[in-house]
Amino acid sequence: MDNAIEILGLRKAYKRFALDDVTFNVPQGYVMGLIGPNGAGKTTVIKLIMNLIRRNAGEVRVFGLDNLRHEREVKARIGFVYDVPRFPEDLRLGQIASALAPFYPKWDGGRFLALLDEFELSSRTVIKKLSHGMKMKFALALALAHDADLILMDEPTAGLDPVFRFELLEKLRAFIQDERKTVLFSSHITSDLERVADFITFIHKGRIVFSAGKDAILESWGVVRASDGSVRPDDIPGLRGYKQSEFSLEALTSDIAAARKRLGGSTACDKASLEDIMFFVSRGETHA
Amino acid sequence: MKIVISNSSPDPIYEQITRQVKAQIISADLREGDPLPSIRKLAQDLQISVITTKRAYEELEKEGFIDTVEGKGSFVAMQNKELLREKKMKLVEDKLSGAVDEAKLLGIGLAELKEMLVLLYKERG
Amino acid sequence: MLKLLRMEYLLNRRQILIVLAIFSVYFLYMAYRIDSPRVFLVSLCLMMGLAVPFGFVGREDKFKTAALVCSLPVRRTTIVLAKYAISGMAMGLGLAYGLLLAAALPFTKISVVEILTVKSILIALLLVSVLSGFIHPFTIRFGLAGIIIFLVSSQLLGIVALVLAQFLGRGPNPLRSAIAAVEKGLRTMLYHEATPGFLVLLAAAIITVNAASFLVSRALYARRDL
Repeated sequence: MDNAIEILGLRKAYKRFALDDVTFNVPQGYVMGLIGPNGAGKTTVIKLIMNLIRRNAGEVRVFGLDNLRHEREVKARIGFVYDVPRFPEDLRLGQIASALAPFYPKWDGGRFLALLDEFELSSRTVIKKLSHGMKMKFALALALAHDADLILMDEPTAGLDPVFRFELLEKLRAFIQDERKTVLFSSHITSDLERVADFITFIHKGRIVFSAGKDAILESWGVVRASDGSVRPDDIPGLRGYKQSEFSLEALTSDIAAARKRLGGSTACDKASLEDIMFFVSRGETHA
Repeated sequence: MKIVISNSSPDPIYEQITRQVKAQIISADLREGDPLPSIRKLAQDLQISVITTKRAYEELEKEGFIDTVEGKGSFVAMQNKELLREKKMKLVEDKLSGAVDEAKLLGIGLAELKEMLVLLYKERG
Repeated sequence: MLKLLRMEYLLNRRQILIVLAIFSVYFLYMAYRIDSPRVFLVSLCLMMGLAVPFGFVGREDKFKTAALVCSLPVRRTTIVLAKYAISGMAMGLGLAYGLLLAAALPFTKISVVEILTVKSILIALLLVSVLSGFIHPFTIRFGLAGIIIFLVSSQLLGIVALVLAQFLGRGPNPLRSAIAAVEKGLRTMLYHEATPGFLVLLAAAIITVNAASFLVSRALYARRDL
């Protein structure tokens, strides 16, 4: 399996936050979701891939090319969608498109217009008049119009109503039908990722917690719930975080099979959702 | 090919797919040589991950239910009549094992179980 | 780079017209009041040299298009080059427009033809280059905040100069000599005979100032986090 993106030992330090030794790969032909609570470093990773900010250390390779040495080649194949599309307000969609088109060798004007049609947008509309959801669709249309091999999005569904979210995810699924295309998007809305992602990379406080297939994660992580104080956190194999109140214990485990075997029938062991994982890893206790 | 996925089922999704495909092949809803949707198309239709459909198809191929041709897609494999009968038997055997386990857990004896079986077989047309 | 120029033009087209309209009012007033051609020219240069860099960065920051431009398949060096090119063209356009307006108006007090010599055009270019050359690194590195930083730095410098002046008292001192030198330099330049040697010197100065400013801006922009 070729990798669309390879990240190795990436580091970026800010005053109060740092990305520390981030390493993961994005396989080509799939959708990878980058999840983590706000401030975990998702946007930083994406900006580093696009070289909008400078890395302190590490390597980033896109399509096998170093993203600094081959910046133009790499960017010509990426469709980048910011969380809040930034265009001069008073311009029409068609004007913006015609200003950006010359930069992309594979730009197809016909495809762009067809996409606008599909997204129910008009090239004569002024950007100012679009709702947030429509702006996102426009940004996606721009990204798709130049036949990008990689779509990179930072929190694309934040601030969108459920209908738009659904449509956006649909478009991504259609995009990924071509197995040479890859999608990487960051989100803290775990339900969207559960629906469309093939791989999940979880980042927390600037570190990678895991990067693996979504199904594998959802099948092996679980939440143990015990109500009578019969189970202590230390008893739970693969413990990754827990929450204990006077009468109950809720714990996240990365090995639900082992937990079920060890704890038997008195405790409930349910599959964990991405939301559970995110919650317990970021807010749960880790030591008794 | 009609597949229904339930998120609330305890079975992993790829298993739900393999089970339904196997059933359709065994019941001849899907016949030898019939094409299956591509793993990506199926993933899109069912709104699940491509990796899941890929795994399901790999399982089905391993067990000899389908063949995948590079560049062409997946098709229902030629089913050896004997093998098919064996697979059918296995399917029912699995279900019966489940019933036996349940009966033992609940303390229902063999004689009672046999009676139940006869009754049900007669009742259900 | 041409693609960038075209893009910047397309994205800011309407703005240019509005700005020209606003400046028309200023130019009209200047043409009406100023009777020294040299003062007129220098005023024009001051306006253009300050307004153009400020104006462009203001618009860029308002719409946050910096990130958009940097996500395009284009090198940062090219982006900086384009900024300089556009500023240069805008300032040139502004100067030309100002002079044209003055020439066309019936109540102009100066003779525009008198101004249109090679020497004065070169001096004008040098003045705007120096002004914008100082401002560009600030705005390119810090965006709109760069203007504030530039103004505050200038003010601080001014305060230092004032304090120094008080300290050094009346009579000859290094500060007075420095200011006198600058004034003398300007006068010399403005009244100097337009010998070929002098013109070449001016041209060289224009190139040097722009090149130096560009190199500094380029280095700063390469490090800027967006």
